[in-house]
Parts: sequence; C-alpha cells; structure tokens
Amino acid sequence: VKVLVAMSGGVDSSVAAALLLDDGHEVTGVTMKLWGGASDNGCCAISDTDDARRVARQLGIDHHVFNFGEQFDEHVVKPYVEAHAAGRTPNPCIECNRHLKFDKLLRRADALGFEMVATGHHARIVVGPSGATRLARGADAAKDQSYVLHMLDSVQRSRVVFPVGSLTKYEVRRLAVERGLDTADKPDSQDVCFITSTQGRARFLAERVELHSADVVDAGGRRVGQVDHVETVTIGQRKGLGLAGGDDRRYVVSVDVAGRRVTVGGPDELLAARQPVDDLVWIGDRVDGIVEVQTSAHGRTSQATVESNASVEFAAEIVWISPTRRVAPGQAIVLYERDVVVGSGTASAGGSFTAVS
Amino acid sequence: VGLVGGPVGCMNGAGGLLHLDHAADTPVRQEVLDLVGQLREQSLGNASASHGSGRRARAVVEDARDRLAGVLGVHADEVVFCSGGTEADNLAVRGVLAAAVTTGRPLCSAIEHPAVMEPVLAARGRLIAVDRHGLVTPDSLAEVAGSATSIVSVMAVNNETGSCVPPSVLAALGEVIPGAALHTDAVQAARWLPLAPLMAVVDLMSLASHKIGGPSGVGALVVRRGISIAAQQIGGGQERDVRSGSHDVLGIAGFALAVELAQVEAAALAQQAWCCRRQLLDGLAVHLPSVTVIGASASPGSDEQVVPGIVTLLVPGVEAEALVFLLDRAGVEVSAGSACASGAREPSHVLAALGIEPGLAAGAIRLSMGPSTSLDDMERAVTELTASVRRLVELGS
Repeated sequence: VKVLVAMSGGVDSSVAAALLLDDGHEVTGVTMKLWGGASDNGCCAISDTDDARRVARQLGIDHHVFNFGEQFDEHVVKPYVEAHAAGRTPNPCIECNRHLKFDKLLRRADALGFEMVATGHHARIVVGPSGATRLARGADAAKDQSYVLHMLDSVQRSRVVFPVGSLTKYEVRRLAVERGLDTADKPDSQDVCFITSTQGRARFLAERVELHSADVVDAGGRRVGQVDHVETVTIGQRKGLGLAGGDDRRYVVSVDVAGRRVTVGGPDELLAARQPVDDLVWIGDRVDGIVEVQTSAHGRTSQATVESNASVEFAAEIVWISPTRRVAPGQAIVLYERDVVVGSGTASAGGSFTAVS
Repeated sequence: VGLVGGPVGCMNGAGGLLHLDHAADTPVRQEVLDLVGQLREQSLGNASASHGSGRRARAVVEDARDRLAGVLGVHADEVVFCSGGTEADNLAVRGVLAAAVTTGRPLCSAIEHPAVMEPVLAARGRLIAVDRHGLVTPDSLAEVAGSATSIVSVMAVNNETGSCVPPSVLAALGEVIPGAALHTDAVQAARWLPLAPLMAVVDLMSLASHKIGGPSGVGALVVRRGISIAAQQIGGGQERDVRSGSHDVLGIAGFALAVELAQVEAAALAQQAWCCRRQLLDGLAVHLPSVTVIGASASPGSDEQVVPGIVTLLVPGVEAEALVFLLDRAGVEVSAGSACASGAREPSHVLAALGIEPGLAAGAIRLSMGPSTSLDDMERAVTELTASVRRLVELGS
C-alpha cells in the first residue's frame, strides 16, 4: 500500500515509518511546516525537519516538506488566540489534528495518489462488534493520544494508520535504538508547539490581542487578588492569582472575561455535579449507561452518564457519578467505553453551576 | 538586449529524466569535467604557496582570471573569485556599504534574489518598484532619483520570471543616482545574454558557476577599479585582500571555462530556447488554457523582455507544492517558489512585487531550460503538466 507518513522529526513517527516499511508498504515521508515563527526547536522547526529528513535517509525513503503554514495560522493559531480572548481554553493540538493532519494532509495525500496516511500518534483504530471502526486508546496509557484524535470520522479512520499505537513508548524507543535511528533518544515534545517556553503564552497572546487585568473575587464577591491577564486564566488554576499569603488551596472556579472577574473558591467549590456540553456527538449508538469521561489531554477519567438536552440540538449535560472538577469552557470532552472513544463534545460555560458540597 | 530568435535551428532531444530546473542547477559540462580531470593529474598545491606546486596552482587561478576578465571586458584585477552567487551578492552590498563614506540607505529592486535583498533590508535599505513585467520603470527611476546612497543593485535576469533589465535601464539608473556603485546580479544572465555590454554599464557584477555548467561552490564578484569595497570574509586575504580563503583552484578553472563557453553559446541557446518556449506555451494554450505565463507575450525584440529559458506558469486552483510533487513522480523536475531553511516552499516575493495576487501565486511553478532541453521535452512537459494539473483540479490538494 502507498502510505504517506507524517514525520515530525520525533521518535514515534520515525518508528512508525520503519514499521510500515517492515510490513512491506511503499512509504514516503513528509514533514509539515506548520509554524513559521519562533519555537523551542528553532524557527520553522528547522531542526525537527532535519531530523525527519535524516531518519528518512536512514530508512531509505523519500522525504518531502509540505508548507501548510497558512492553514495552520488560519485553523489553529488564530482560533487559539480568539478562544483565549473570549475566555475559553482551547486545545490547539486537537484543531491541528482536525484541520491539518487529518484534513489538509489527507486531501493532499489523496491528490498525490497515496492510499493511507500514517502518523506517530499513540492511539489505535479498532473494529467494533458491528464491524465499524472505532478509535481506541494507545497501548501505553501514559502516552495515549486518543483524546486529541477523538474527532476522526469513519472515513478518516479508514484512511489513517497509527503504527506505534499498539506499542509502549519504551518499546518505541527500543525499536528506534535497535535500528540505530537518530531520533531514538530525542525528548518527547511538550506543550504548544508555536509558543516558546521562554516567551510564554501571555506574551504570545499579548502580541496578537489586547489582554486585560481582572479582579479576583471570592464567592461572596469580595476582592481577594488580581490577575494581569484574565484571558490566560483557566478554571482549576491556583497560582498567579495574587492571593494574600500565596493561598494555594483556592482555585479558579469561574472566569468572566467580559466582566473582568475571576472567582475563586475552595476545593469543594471547584466541584460540580453536572457539566454542560455543546456539540455532543456519538460515534455509533448513544450510550445510555455509564461512560468514562476525559476532559483534558493527559487527565484522568471520571464516570458519568450523559443527559441530552431535549430542546437544544447537540447540547447535553454530563452527569457525574460523583462530584467532579469543573471543566474550562472550550475544552474537549471525550467519552469512552473502556478504552474506545464513543462520543465527544465541548465544555460550555452555560447551564447550572450548582456547587456541590 | 541580444535576444536572438526565430524558428530556425530548433532541436529535438531524447527522453528519460526530464530536468527542467536548470536555473537552480544545471549539469556540469563535459569540457569542464575534462579540464578539471586534466588539472587533477598535475601536482597543484595551495595557490598562495611559494613552491612549485603553489606557483602552478596560482598560474591556473590567474589564467582563469584572465579568461573571465577577457569575456567581461574588464581588467583581470577587477575579478574577485569567491564561493558563488550568494557570497558575491553579499560581498557587493555589504562590502560597498562597509567601505562607504556616505551613509545613505542602499537600494535594490523589489525582485532581487534574497542574497541581495536581505543585506539591503538589513541595512535599512529601500526597494525600487518594478512593473508587472519585473522591469524598473521611468516612474520608479524618478522616485529614487538623486538618492544619496553608496550602492544600488538591480539584477540583470530574474531567477523566477526570466524578466531582464536591459543595459540601457541599468545605465539610466546609474545616471539618476550619481555617486552610487551600481551592482547587478548576473547569475542567471550569464547563460542567456552577452555579459560584456552589461558589465560596461555597472560597477559590480555577481556570477555563479553552477548555473552555467561549471562546478558548484564557486563564483565571482567583479569589482570595477576605483570602487571601494571592504572584505566581509577576513583572515588571510588570499583573493586580492577582498576575500579570504584558500583558492578553489580546480573550481575556479572550471568556472572560467564554463563562463567562456556559455557566452559563446548564449545566442544559439537562446534561439533554441525560444523554440522550446513557443512549443511549451502553444501546447499549454491547447491543453491547459487556464494556465497563464509570466512574459507570455514576450518574443525576441518585444518590449516585454524575458530570457526564453525561464518560464513561470501560474496554474489557478492548484497548489504548486502538490504539482511539483506529482511532476517529480512523473520524472519531470521543476521548481516552485524558493525554499526556506526547513526545505518548505515559501510564497514568492518576486511574484508579489509583480502584483500577482497570492491565490494565483500559490499555483506558480518555474520551468527552466538548459542546453539539453528539446522540443520533445516540451511536448512531454505539456503532457505531464496536463495530467497532473487535471488530477489536482479534480481531487483538490
């Protein structure tokens, strides 16, 4: 099969390419140039591209670079900035997967005559009881990326392969070492790829939108601190709130960007019985019973049932089995049955905020 | 400008891998390989050494210098050998600025190669506007007239569009900006146009070996006597104290021969390339009528001046990156835009300066010809282009 493998220059996609070759596929490597500005790996991630090119040479496969910088700006960076400005907490990796890796790249691969697209993601495509494909967690629970891939539809699931999804990270590195791949000991990538660790998120945003200071208040409305940039404050945050005595047992429980107000509360006030959700979709049949709910890329799951909103299409509420932390508006909410993704939605700010104590 | 043309003497060639990226790199000529082979047989040392091997090497370098000077109609001591076009361009702009007494901002056209434009912009320089054919117009001349600057750079033949600036326009530039050193990047011109008439009206000229059938990694900056220039690569001063580094003796010899041969053959090559260009454009007009061509109405002697062997096609609704990929798979090698350090293709500043809107520029590819390019090649290019473009338009990319 003619496979286009997206090579980021990391160890996972390097090994993915090697495994595809082992399986006898006709493999071509491609590195997407996504971000043209500064990054922790140099401008345009030059060193990552060089790493990918070097591994491709080691494997004896062709390597190309596709410049998707414009699409990345439009579909990832711009929405990221807009979301923060509106007080939502975006997940740019999800948008990149949605619009770049599994849309733009997939279409490009089609046009160029490739049958499949592979990436180094830790996730698996499995076949469910009905014969339909499903997205499932990668074998390495600590490295699982199914959360940021939850949006893959059935067409995409039939066209993509995740060769390292059934391996642990340890096994991936061992294979890379065995093959002498240059990327074997490269550290895992961290955080948002277009923001440097030295520059930080606030400065990145400040160069693009106006940021505002805000009062930090307690549940009774009493002013207890101040933040420089309300746009960067996230629910659950407990640092950088300017609280007297550095009180770190108080968490952000709600953020009102327009009103320039951040409300803090104790651990109990951070908990909610229900979580409103927009854009709820089920992959296959709706699950009436208990599902496992994951609300951040590397977070734990909590059990809940899902109550659809009869009056608003695609709106629903997650009803936690036991009180669970509030989710920042904008975050993806992914529903699992065991390790299979069965649905997803986006945390909304609306709905009841009944504190549970 | 001596764009000799006419439908006589058109040649046909063989098939195989079709390299249509000669403006990026063109095969080393057999004569050059032979010369380099012969020189390798001799005991040649460091051209700066005083022993026999050193003196023999020096003689090879000086012979090459004489030959290059002869072709250009300059003094031998006006030739500075260096590592190629980029170094020559950098040395011209930065070297003149560093040695200048006046502190004005440098000028260059808006379609210069980055090797000129970046040093100019880094020195807070200004760009001279060009018209939609890439030509510096009387209006833009008037705009910069009287500028107090130490250097003005306008390339002889543009590497993306093939548009050329006649010596008369260069001369006019020199007249409206008195006191400035006038530089031209003639890297692409050397294959297509006589260099001596260009050199006659400028003070500095950049040349590169690998664009004309010489070895890569060598080139020259010609610096007219009386032009002050400060070395930019220092520590040894081997090349006339304007450029440091041991001489690439074999490269320099091969380069000088390549320039000589290219200049002898320029008119004939242009004639052959006009045939090919017409064949290509006629074929595209039939099979891909939506494709437009920069310099489409150009012909030998027309106002719109281009060299025939550099053809930029604007393919609407197609991403150049995908088209280049498909053509490569079909054995046809073309280029799109310029490469950034990561290897990704970047939008062209040249096409933007010509007023081509970004959506259309995104579908721009360049086909560039060399001595081996034949009418059959053009037929094949049309066939493969048609197949690839149709596929991309149908499937999107």
